[in-house]
Amino acid sequence: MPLNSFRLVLDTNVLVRGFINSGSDSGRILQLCEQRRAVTLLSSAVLREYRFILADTKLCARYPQLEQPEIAVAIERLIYVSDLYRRVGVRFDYPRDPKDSHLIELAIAGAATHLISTDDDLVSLPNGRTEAAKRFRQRLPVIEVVSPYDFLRLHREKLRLT
Amino acid sequence: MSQISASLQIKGLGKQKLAAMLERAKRLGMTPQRYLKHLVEEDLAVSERAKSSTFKGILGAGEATDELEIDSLVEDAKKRYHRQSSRRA
Repeated sequence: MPLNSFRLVLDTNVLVRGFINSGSDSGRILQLCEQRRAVTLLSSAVLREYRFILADTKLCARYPQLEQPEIAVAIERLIYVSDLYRRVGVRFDYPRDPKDSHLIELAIAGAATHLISTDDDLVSLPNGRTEAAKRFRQRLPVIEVVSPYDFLRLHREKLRLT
Repeated sequence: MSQISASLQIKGLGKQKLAAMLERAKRLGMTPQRYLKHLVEEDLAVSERAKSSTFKGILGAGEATDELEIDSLVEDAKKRYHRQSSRRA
């Protein structure tokens, strides 16, 4: 697999973890995207959610390093290193957690290879027995839904990690 | 050096936003034109900085944190976000 054929959809908490600590697994994934060893996918819906969460008063009060002028630049940087799909044009009904359907829709539209998440429901989706899980496998037959740690561990060699 | 002047027309801003923009410009002691120029310049500066920097350079290295606490705060914020967006829809 060529390096840049890692096409990643990042769950919001993964992005936030990476922004708060660049040395975390999530932070390392962001660095891989900067180095073009992987590509992050974005949609307008996902970007809106990222922006909202990164301006959340409770989150910012707990992590004062999330200063808004810097966050604005960091989001701009994310757009710069990502493939942005302004119009996704895909619908995926995910009754278990409708809040996450936009991530799956982006994964389908952008032919993602990985959805990086720590959400148990999302991680178990490729092997689930629900109706949504079956539709998920139909639309995304080869995607891996993994945690940041597992993504780095499973693809250590391909990503040329030391 | 020749001077290039450009004038832009902004449509669809709406009366409320237009009034707010005029008020904001006044508050900052700028003419509306100067204020809009300032906004454009600021945004372009953000874009330039984003291109030439790194996440680590922009946000700092950070430090080890309780990631489960981050997840929980993000999950709560997500709920607030989706409640708001479904109300708007």
